[in-house]
Amino acid sequence: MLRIEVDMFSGRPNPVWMITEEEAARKLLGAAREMRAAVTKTGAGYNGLGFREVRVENILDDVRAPRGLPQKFAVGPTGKENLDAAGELARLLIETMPLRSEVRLVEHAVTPLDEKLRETALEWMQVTARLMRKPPGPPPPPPPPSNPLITTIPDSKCSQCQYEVSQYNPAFWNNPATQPYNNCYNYARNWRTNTFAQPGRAHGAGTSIMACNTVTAAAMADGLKKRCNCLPQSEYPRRLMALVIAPGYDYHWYRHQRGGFWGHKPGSTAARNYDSNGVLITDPQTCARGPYTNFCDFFYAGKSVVIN
Amino acid sequence: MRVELDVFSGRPNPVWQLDAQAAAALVALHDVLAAGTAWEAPPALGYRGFLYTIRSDGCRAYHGAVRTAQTILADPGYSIERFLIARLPHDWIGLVPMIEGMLRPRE
Repeated sequence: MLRIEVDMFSGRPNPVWMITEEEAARKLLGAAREMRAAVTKTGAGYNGLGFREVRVENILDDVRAPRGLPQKFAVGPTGKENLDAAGELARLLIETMPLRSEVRLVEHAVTPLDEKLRETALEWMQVTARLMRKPPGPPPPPPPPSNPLITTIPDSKCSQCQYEVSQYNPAFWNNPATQPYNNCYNYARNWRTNTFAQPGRAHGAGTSIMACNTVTAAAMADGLKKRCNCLPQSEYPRRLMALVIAPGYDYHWYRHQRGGFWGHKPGSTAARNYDSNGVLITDPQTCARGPYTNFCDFFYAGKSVVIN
Repeated sequence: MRVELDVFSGRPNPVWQLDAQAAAALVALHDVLAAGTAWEAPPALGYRGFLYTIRSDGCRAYHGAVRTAQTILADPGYSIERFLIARLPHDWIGLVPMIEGMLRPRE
């Protein structure tokens, strides 16, 4: 007597039935011996959602399994090599599912056997086979390196996006070798180029027209993305920047820092985290900005953003 | 003499050269300023003053005072700033209204 279980459900009990006829059991075990490549240990193959394997178990102590077969085994795909054999043998086994079992098992209360279940099991088996035939996708990006100065946070404006905030570190910028040669764009992107970087210049897309749309286009040529166009983890570290404009004169950038405030570096002056009124900047849209009266937008800058 | 208008955040500040006659006039204006004590730190954004160098001494003229490495000079009539505004290169004339708007008398 064989116990057959199709391992396919996640919540409800799997379909289970017994093969009581000795001749039918012997035929199935014979087929399994013929298609040895399809026989595996239970739990050795696909372990995701949907069809995983058919489990076969001899439940009598006075019946020997055929030579080469264990008392309990599974039939299911473990890789491309045995897909065809496993599919054929699993189909043979599933087709033995009775439409109304003579042997009542506790599982049948929740998972009664019927034609629909049998068809579903066969369909799901095909789905798993297709899944295993697909070439593997690119490996997931490696996790970002651990850096105690950087924290990843969800974006409060679009929680599906994440970006990184850094420990405020003005001393990096406020020294004679750095301060005169790096501006707000360097600071906000967090890249000391010592070239007084200009939006778009690294990509031949600089602008001399000081307006939101022109500076935005120049910065996006460098690779900046509008906020809520989530950057993948592979762009770590991802900054949140804000752009403001003194219409017709100049632009200015801020960078979100760890601690909930914003940092900036006005031209060749010192980097700081307070506004024109000496107040800690918690929102670049509302802070004191002097002649930079136009707030343009927020942007993400991942590691692929190149400035000069 | 090299003069820089410290005003921008993103773009490079306007920089230009005074000819010998204008440089001499600037030195004359500078040399008659009396010592002062009041110095208002420039704001983060916008007009932050004019930068020039006299006798190797870096100077910042801002809001009616001139600050050097050693001292503060009072310029209540904004003579230095007005002199340099009048000599802004043509490309930067558009900045004049913004700068003059910030040359308000001290309260």
